Amino acid sequence: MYARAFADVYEAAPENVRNMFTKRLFDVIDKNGDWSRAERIIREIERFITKKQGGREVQLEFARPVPLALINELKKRFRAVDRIDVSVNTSLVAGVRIVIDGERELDNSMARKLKDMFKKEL
Amino acid sequence: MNYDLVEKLKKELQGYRNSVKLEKIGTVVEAGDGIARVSGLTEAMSQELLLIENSRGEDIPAIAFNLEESFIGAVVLDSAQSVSVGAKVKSTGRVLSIKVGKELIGRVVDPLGRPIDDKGALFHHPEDADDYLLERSAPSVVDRESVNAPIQTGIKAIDAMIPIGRGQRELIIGDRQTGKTAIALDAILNQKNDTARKTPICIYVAVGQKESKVAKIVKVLEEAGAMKYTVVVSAPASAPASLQFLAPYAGCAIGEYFMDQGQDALIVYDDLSKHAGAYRELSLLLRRPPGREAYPGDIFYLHSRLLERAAKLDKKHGGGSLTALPIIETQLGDVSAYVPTNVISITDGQIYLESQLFHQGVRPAVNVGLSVSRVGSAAQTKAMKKVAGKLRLELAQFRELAAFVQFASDLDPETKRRIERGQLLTEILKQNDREPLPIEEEVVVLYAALGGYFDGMPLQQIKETEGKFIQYLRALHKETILEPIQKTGEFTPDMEAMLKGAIEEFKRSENL
Repeated sequence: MYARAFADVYEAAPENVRNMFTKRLFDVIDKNGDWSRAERIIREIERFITKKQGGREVQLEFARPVPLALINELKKRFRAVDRIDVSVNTSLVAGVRIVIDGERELDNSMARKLKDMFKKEL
Repeated sequence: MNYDLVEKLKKELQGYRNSVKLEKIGTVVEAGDGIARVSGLTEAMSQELLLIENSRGEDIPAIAFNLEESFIGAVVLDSAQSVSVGAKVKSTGRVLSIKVGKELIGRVVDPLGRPIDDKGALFHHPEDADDYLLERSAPSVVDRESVNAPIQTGIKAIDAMIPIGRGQRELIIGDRQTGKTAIALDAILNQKNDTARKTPICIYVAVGQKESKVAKIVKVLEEAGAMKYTVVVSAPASAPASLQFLAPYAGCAIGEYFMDQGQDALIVYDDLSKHAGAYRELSLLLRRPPGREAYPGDIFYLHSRLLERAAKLDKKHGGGSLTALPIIETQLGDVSAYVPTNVISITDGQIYLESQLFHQGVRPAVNVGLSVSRVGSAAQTKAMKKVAGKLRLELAQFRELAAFVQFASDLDPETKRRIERGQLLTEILKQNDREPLPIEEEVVVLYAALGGYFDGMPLQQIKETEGKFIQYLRALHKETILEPIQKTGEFTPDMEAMLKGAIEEFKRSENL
């Protein structure tokens, strides 16, 4: 709710008043005692703004830390408006998992391959 | 390292093909009470099977129930406790189905088709199983034909006055502890007695029942040899509401499989009140707006789409049938409550059980005045039709006069005679549970009672005399009277004359 309202107003507002909106958002969060959810709200705002600008939210998950050069190389394959988030997820065992807009997934991890091998049909 | 594991890995690796593809996924944003709210999966279908990956990497099945603007309300079908926020959800592109086949006969399964009777796995050979959708459209009007063959329950009161046909939907309704399950169980047990027709496959669906009760029913069926043609689908009271909701549909899918094979099937839904309760629970948790008695708006459709799947198919479609005996539990005899009226209006008649009759010792406690079968009479055997034609009328006349029973000594002889006849017929219609009678024995007993051969006999002696009479006919007139009625379903004047003679002979031998 916060995220959607803020993203709508922020986009439509002139540059000079945007800082004021940001301050007001934090005032409202403070007033409602929602600081525990602040991180999630900010993440959602980022998502809304990225979407409004026509970008995609891309999550790159690696099984272990990878060289910066490789990350930069991968980032180049996406557009400038896309929001790219890189993280390390050791449960992948090996390989990489890419999630776009939280809806589409390309899983090339060892964990997925092992799971496929032992998968039981429902 | 475990040697078996290494061997298994080697074996799996040999046939493994790595295929990486872009998959549609969602994320659990809220979980609890067997419900998960999922973000993403914007193209999911209603009733689509979803797989939620829990923290142990296992896939937990769920069904997409509510498709909202940005979320999906999904009902978790298995260990909902292991589903946590942030879990990955995959769509499968298919709606929920169950594996069906002949191997199911004699087994107890859960609503997802998994065996729960410790008799081992089902369908070792995939070619033995078919996939049947749990939610499926009912057969169309042109694929059906009128009900024309009877399904014998073995209960005199029902087979004589409320006959049920193959493909019919007959509701069994009554308060708690009035013998609803006993009637359904007798109907299943009696199928092996009906040798004139092919034994139907019976499916007993237990919804929200005590596990001890289900175990007892399975034991009764096993002891009577009825599990040879019966499948039990169990979603007991301890099962999540989602499984209780699915159980009747799973049972129906199993029944449809046999119907599509050209066989007859009989399905008992025990009971749809608890099924409606489970659906209400799910709907409220999914935040669907509550209506009358807090049931959701589509509670009628919940049962109509289930019961419409019971049908008698025409010859072109194999001629199979699915007969449904749904059970509804009323509260203090209130048949005008929401769910009972719905199911009464959907079904082709009802067997109404009264707790007052039950406590008076009339068992089965069928109220013949309020019970009706709308299509079954067309399927009733000619023998029964001929014999029991005036039974309903005589009982109706008795009911009108029943209030005067206590003044019997002051009444005119005609009224007195009618009361006595009514009492005798009521006594004749009493029957212990798990003692269903074959149709030919029902016919001869009712013929003797309605023909006035038991008139004047003390009421306490009726039961014993009836038993002796049946034993007598089984011993001396099996080939001449009982078998011809059973095989032909007719009661010709010759048979009638022979039966009259046999009754007279029996009365002489017993000094009656």
